[in-house]
Amino acid sequence: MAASLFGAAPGAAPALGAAERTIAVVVEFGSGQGLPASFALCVKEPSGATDAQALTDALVSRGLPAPTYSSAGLLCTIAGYPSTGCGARAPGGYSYWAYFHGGSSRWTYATDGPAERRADPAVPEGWRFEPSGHGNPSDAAPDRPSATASICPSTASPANQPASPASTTIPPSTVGVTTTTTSASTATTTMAPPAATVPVTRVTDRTAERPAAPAAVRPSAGSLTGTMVAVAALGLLITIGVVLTRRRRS
Amino acid sequence: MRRERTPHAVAWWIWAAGLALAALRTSNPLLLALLAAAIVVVCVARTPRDLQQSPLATFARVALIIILVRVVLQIVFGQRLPGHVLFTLPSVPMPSWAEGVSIGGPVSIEGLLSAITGGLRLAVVLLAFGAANALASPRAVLRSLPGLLHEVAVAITVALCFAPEVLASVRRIQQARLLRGRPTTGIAGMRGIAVPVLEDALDRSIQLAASMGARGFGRRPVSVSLARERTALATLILGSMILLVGGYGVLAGSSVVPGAAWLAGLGLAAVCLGVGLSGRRAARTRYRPAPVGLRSVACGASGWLSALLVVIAGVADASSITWSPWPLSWPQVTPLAFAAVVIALVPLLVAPGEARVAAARGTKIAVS
Amino acid sequence: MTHHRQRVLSNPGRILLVVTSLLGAMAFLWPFLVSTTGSPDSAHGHDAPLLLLVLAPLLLVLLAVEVSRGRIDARGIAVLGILAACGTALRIPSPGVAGLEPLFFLLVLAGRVYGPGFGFALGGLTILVSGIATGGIGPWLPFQMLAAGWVGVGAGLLPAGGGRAERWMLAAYTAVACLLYGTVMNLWFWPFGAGGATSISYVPGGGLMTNLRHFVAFDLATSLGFDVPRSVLNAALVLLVGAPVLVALRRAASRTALGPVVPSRSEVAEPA
Repeated sequence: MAASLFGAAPGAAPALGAAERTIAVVVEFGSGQGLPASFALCVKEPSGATDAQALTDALVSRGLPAPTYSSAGLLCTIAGYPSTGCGARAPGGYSYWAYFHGGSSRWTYATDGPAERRADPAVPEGWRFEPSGHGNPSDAAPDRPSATASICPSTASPANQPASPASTTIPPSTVGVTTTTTSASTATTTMAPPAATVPVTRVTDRTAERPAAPAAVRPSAGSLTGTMVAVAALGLLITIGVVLTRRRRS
Repeated sequence: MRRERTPHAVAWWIWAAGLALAALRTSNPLLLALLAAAIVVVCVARTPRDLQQSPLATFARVALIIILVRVVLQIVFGQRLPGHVLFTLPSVPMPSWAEGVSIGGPVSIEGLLSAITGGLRLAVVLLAFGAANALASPRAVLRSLPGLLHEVAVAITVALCFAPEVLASVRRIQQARLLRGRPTTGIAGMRGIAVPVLEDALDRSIQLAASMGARGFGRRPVSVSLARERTALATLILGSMILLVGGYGVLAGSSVVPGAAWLAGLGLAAVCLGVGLSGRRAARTRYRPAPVGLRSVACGASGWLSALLVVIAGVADASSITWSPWPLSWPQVTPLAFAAVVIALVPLLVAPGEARVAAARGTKIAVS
Repeated sequence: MTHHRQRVLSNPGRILLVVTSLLGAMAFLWPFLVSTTGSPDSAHGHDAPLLLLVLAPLLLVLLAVEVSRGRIDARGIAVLGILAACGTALRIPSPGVAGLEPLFFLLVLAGRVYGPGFGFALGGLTILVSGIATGGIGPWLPFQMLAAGWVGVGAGLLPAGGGRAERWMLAAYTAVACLLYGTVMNLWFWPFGAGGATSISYVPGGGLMTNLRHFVAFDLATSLGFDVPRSVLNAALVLLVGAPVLVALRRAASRTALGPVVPSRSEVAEPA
């Protein structure tokens, strides 16, 4: 099944014994209701993986829905939030997920997309939900510190931690009220055996844990009646068109 | 006044413009495919011409090329959003000035689907234009331009009538040169043909100007007041300036220019007013003007009603008109969106089967 | 030169030409103009094609004003119509979106002889007429009309001169104008043609530099291969066939008392 390929890291195939690096991901929901203010995740990625891949892996490894994107490639939801709209107009601007690059001193508003950006251990990726942003660098940056060292202090010794919490799926509405560095390190430990594991097994593991994201994010996707009726109508229209063309020709 | 038997040529263009707008409002591939099918069915059912030569076929080919180009661009330059990877292209390192531009990498099903859907949206717009070209010749539209555009219409008519003659003239001179053993291709041929053709054409234009002058062309009707013309022009210019500011505001987001949409509307209204004011100066009669009646209104309105229904469907349930391959899901067509497609088919009922559009069509330029 | 300036200022067609050109420039350049203020989702950028609904009628009105209020009288309309027919004939062997259209060579020479107003009208009209003649009226038409009109205006605004120097100047202008025409049309197509999910797409909120970089990559990848040969062909035609064509056009101009035979420097700023 094609789904087993999901999450195959870009660049994983050509990389010969690609060293895995810890990528820091910060997600801030801002003033979203019933949601945690923010959480930080640390995830291991082979070199060559993109920020988009790191975000997906970080969320999926915690049992959260994978991020969704619009048809134009704009990130719409993280952990299923917000439930409607994508870069939608809001009073005073647009509500959307703003993307930042971290650094030793501050966050900078990204002018590239997460899929164009190679994940870099020194540059944490930051996501902040802007309820009424402007889609430019004037939008507020995440509150958390921007340096890798303060987001993932446990980077140095990840293998010492017990490998368990990944299996306990946390629904987005109840993700701990203050998911700070402690839970961040649990995410890191998901990849418990660091050196020995080949990327492929890591990928399949993750697929198994991945919740049914499409169904969770889009409830309407479950029913196929709308699709079937539309396909039938399309078939009917095409038949009429073909019949008319034939008659014209004869 | 003659009775209206077929929708007015302009009505078909209004219908097509509405459907193009409807397509631009949605990213749902199933809805787009339905709209495309509706356009093609109406066009096939109501065009007397052979499909192979119909502009619809030409536009359909261009639409296919655009979908292909988008797929190729997606494969080569696509963003590498996580997805179901089909195959991986070797990635090419880019120089620092092209930072952000990536070539190659894994190609996912999702990326390809997004390229095809995006291409389909453009394809529907093109099909709508192609159908309008096939259903109502632009020449027929030319006949109903407002009075202000009279001179332009004359220039267009002159050009349309003379273009076949220019081609014939080229062929004549080509043959003459062949008989004399002179080159007809390459730069030398071009020079030997272009100059006599152009001189011939310019001579004709002088003859034409003389005969136009003799028939009173360019004479201003006595009834026109200069003050009114000045007012019309001033309104036009003012309107276009307001439109400029308003249009920028609409594009840049409402925070930059307050009330941008209203400004743009006001500018547009002023431009229309200007055209209307100056339009009345042409005291010319029209030969057998095409009547406008219920058929035309229904035909034109159906396209825009369809667009409106798509917008309403989006307001009622955003997921019915927006679809994204990330994550993969079946596109849904809600009853409202479905109604938009049905409404687009209304011209099938209003326009008679054997459209007499052909009668209004002028001569076609022979392309050899 | 003061009387000349007065005539330019009192010609409302010129003001309308500048305003419409600005509107058109906005319709072309919107991805750069709003690159930091627009909606973050480029799907919303699809409101931009609506500009077409405004631009198309405005262009027709502008053509009308140029033709009926400018220096183009009844005799001028005959010449305009017939030159547009010649231009259409030049375009017909190569229909479609991208082809080696030798149209620009005629447009530049005519704009040079008859002045910027005529050049604009001829550029716009030729595109419109070939669209009508081939049943090829598409969403690109108003934009092509405007861009071709600009090529004609530019040719009319070139400095005075004669002989060989004039031909080289015209050839250089033709080469540059053809390339710019291709780039500008590509700029129109870019936000829709590349979609949103590639690394050479328009990035809302991405800033000017990112978007410029992406556009250059798109231009290189898609159409420079067509634009360069077209530019070379048209410039070569101006060099090799330009002299006799200029003579023919000037003779017709003196016989119809149309426009400046040797154009003087005009005061109208060339639109962006």
